Amino acid sequence: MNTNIPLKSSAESDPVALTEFQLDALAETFNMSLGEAAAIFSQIVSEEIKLSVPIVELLCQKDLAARMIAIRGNRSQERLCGITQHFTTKDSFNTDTMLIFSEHGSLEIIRRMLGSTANVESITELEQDALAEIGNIIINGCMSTISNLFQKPSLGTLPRVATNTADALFASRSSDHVLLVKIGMHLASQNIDGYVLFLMDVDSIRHFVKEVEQVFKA
Amino acid sequence: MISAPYLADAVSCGLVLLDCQGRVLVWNKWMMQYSARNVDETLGVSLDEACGVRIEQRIHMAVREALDFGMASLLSHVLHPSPFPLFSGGGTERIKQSITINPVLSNSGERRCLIQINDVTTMAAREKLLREQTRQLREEVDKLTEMQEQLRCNESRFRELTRQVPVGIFETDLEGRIVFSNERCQAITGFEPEDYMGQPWHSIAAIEDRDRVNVDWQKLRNQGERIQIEFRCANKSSLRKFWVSTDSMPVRNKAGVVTGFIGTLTDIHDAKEAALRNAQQATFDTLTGLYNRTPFNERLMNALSNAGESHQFALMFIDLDDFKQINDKYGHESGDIVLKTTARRLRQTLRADDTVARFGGDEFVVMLAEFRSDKDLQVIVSKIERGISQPINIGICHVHLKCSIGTAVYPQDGCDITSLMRHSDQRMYDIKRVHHSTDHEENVNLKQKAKKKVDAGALM
Repeated sequence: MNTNIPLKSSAESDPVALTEFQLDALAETFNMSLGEAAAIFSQIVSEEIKLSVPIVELLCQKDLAARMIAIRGNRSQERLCGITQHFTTKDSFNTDTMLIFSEHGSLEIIRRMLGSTANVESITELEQDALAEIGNIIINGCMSTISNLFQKPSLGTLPRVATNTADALFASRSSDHVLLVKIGMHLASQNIDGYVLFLMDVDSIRHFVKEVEQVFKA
Repeated sequence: MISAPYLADAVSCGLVLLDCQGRVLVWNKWMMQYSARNVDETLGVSLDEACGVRIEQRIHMAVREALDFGMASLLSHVLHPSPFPLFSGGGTERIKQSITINPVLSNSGERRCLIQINDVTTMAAREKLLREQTRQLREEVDKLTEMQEQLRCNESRFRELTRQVPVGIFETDLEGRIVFSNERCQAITGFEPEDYMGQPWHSIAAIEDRDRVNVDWQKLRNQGERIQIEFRCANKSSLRKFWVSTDSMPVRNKAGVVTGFIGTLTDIHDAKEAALRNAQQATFDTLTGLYNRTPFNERLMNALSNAGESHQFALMFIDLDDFKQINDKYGHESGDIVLKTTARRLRQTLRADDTVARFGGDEFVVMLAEFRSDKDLQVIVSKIERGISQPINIGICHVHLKCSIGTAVYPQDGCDITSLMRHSDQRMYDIKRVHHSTDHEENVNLKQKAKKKVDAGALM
């Protein structure tokens, strides 16, 4: 398992410091929840989906776009498609959970859903809804698992879809920190990679980590 | 129950509220209209019971996620077109639906589920139409692309063919101005493309043939008739005139309208020259340029078949007296000069309608097209005799020759070639004999006179 600790532990300047145990526990949590989500996705597209090992990072909001570009390497210029849902867990954490595909990848998923005759360059508004539903199913699958693990119900909103450059896509976030979980969801026939982001403020991250610790201490 | 149920009835979409057991709490007015199910049939029962049929499993799962885990779901029309049995205006086909399922909390903190259904039938139809139009457009673009590729292939094939063929190929616009020519065209004419591009194609014809070519070109242009024409071309670089042949026809578009002309250009110079030479030799006597026997006979035959009863014409056989002696004494070159001069004088003496031929040796034949009387004929004979008897300069000296002319008149002397020929030939020999005997007598007389002079001298 590959984990990073991007922020140094410092009581004043850094409100969030993660121990190796915490990071491992987080990685395990996302491994389970995203595994569930990927299984649902796999059913939708009728194809086996390979999951890469999750990489968990904690970033400042302002560094997110640069980090996404760095992760994506030579495909960094491609526009991204983000499907976002907000989740509220009472007395615990709030998160914007975001599923990211490359624009081409997202269109390719729709094409697979609609049949091979559809032209990915001309997706209608209603067809765009299909992408929202697919993201919705995956995110719900992921968040249900987390909710079950924590044994705390979350209340989720409907998905929103936005396609833009990395900079523009992450520009208007209010959360100051981001729990970036990079997990590759790779379709064998199409070169489609997906990423999941949890955008939380410091308070939520603390709560989230606490919940994770609870699960794995038990 | 929700606190303000009238709000649910005011919205223009379907609203269904389920309690934590999945039983219907609200079934709004819109739902009643579209499902044709009233409040009594729907309230307090499960979703399937309220609808009167079993609905899609996906809806049940989304409802469960909302009630059990607080997850909201969106069900796209594309993936689930019509999950609920809802109908518009008494129709039998379900309306197209876009559905959202949201978890909501009651005042008492109980988890509930709100299903919201939007009618997207019109939008779906519009998008279907849009997609169909897009598909058609794409097909047309594909077809067009394929046609362009085909056209490009044809074009390149055409270019290669025109480069390879051993004949010149040119294309013109409606006015005959050259818009394309292959390399062979340039090789044949010796022109550079800039010399004739945009010029009328028939301007390559040499000046003496241009009118003739123009007549044919007008036929091609005005009547669309294919033309095959041979003409002389003036080569730009050498100013040499040479024969070419062209085969031109109109180019028509799909509607059959002429859009231009296309033609081939072939260098036929050597063959044409040889043919002309052969034709010349077959028709004309190479030495004198007069007709020879065959064409003369043809013309005679022609005259016979066209001659009316009142019409008369004459045939003349002309033979130079003592021509053999010129040849023997001064050589053949001198003989040839005599023959050429005689031919020229005959042509000068006779009218354009009359036909003169050389049958071989020193034998000339004349067909007088028309004459009024025997006296006229005699005048013409005299003119010829006088003309021929003029001195001929053969370089070494002047020679004096007489000729013997035999005539036959149609129809008195015969109505066919053989009898006319025989008569004139016979009369010519008769006259020649007279000339001989006269000459002989003159010779005798001269000798006698000379002898007398000698005798007289001797006496003196």
